[in-house]
Amino acid sequence: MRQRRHQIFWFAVITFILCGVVQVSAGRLDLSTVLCIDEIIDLEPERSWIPVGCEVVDCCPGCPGPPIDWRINVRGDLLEAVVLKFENLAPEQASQLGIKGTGRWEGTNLQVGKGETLISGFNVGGSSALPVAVPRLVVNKEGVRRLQQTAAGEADAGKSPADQDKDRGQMEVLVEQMIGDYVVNEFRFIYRITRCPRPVLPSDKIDLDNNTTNDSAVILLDGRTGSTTCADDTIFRGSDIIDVGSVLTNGACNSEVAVFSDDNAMQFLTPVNSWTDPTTDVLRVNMTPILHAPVTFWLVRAGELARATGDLANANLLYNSNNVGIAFDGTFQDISGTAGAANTIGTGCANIGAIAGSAFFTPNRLNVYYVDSAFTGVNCTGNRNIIFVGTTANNQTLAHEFGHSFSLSPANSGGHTNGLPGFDGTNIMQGGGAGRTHFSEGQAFRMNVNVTSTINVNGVRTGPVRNPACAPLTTSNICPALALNATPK
Amino acid sequence: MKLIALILVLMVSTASACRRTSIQQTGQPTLSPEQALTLRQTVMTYLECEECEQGELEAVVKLGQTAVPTLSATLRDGPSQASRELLRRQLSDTYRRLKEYEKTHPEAKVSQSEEEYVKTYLDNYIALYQVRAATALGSIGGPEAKRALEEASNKPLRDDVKATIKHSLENIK
Repeated sequence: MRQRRHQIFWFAVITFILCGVVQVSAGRLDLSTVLCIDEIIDLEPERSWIPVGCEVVDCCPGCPGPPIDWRINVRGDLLEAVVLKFENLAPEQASQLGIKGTGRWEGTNLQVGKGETLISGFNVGGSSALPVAVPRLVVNKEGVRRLQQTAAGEADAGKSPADQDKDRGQMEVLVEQMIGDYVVNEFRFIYRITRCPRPVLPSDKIDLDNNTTNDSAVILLDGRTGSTTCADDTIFRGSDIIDVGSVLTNGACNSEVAVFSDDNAMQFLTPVNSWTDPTTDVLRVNMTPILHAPVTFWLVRAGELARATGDLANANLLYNSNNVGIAFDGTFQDISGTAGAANTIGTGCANIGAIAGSAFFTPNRLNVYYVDSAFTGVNCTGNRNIIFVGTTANNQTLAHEFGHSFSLSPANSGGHTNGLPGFDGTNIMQGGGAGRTHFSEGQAFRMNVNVTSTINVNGVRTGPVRNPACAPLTTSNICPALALNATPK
Repeated sequence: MKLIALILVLMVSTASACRRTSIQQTGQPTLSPEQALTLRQTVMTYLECEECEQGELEAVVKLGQTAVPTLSATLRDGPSQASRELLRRQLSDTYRRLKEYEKTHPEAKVSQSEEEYVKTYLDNYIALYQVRAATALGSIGGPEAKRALEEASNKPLRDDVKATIKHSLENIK
């Protein structure tokens, strides 16, 4: 009898697994960000839209036809609900959708509470505009207040910022679009909650001079904070005079400061030998002008000036808004009618030798070739000053290739961030996609200070470097984690 | 022993019914939900990859004929309506940010109108999907893939897409 029960049990288990009754987890992660407690208010994830419909054009081979249902999961102690504001969805259409779970309509706003909710019956197709939902997260304000009190208590109890518990849970919204049992599209937003930098007073200070736009700069601090305690990449924010807690004489600790601010070059002070034990120190950091990396655009294909100009503008916007401290100055050379240009340059990295010896190359700067070939972009391993952009590139390709040139490489060792912990689809070094808008501080640090970055190789930056370079996946007391990130920028 | 045999027969037949990739009357393979998810994710990773140096095409080719209907539809129609709408919104948002940025950073000038800007990258997006689909169909091969490429070769597509289709047809097995 016991044996039979075992047999039936295993039969059930195996059948369960084979039939795929287990829910398949969503693969795509649209947004995974870190917020400190004080930043939690009602959140509207940046650039987040959820169109009703399948991700691929045939939805899934052989799967049943419309309608599409939405399975929505709202999770996390601090999350009360998500409000989905629908565009292109008439109230009468909304009222015809079935709801199982906690969802309720207010006009064309759907408020969905915690747990799982099923919205059924979206009919899409035809010529009408696609319904699109814009999510807004509603947080539990009382829960946030309690968490703030806990964090303040820790600071009051004398814990240094580095010692305060960082992890405060997370909030997650997952929207899976389904046809029958088939998930045909999904959108996933995760907010991980941390403590805010809250130094114990009295405190040593960092004084930022010439912070151009009075930006909320990001400071990474290494130093000694206890008899044997070394702070490693503790993050502080501020625009002028910033409390950093008690930083002691260096002892055996690495002591340095990196500052990132938009419209200024990244400042890297290493080693910092001026900290003393009393909390009266003020470390002055002079924010110097942003670095300008010269770039020559070689327009091998006719009619590419407008696109190249747009790509350059977006690269400048992305690097600046992420506090990388590097701007790009473009010079455009239309060589589409120049005899021999296309042959010499070719359409890929095989020609880098010929290119570097030709008139279509400017040494010691970035050279970007817009060529007539169907690919997106590539930065050549054999010469990091050479980038090709093809006919199917998107508006973030150039910024991405600059990242490779600035030492975020090779792709399969952290140069691409796909699947790496702490990264989502918004990172510029994601190996594809059109929603890439962010660099982490870990990436910005490497792009600036790695000896292999072309910003240093080309002499655009002359400050201290990491030699050997911090490989993307190397984390140590002198190499911050690649995913180390401070938001908002 | 009889019970064990019965259980084994049940297991095999159930598993077979659940997992089999069958061809329906429509010619479309029927996949289980998790097979369909794997296919979608594998195909999407390839369609959108930047340098594609991490085995993205090889993973699609490994799916074999199962991927041909999706790739054929992608070659014919490009990205889905939902994906296009998402990109259109991202591009419009980027354009507005660029115009705002331009006010304080004149060196970062965008010469195109919003409509031109969105069209430039939306057209590239459609072409990217079609180019990738044509490449994968050529690498997978077989009569269905060849038929999809031949049909597409007669359509008024962009030159870079046409060139890829031609190359795929010349090299298809």
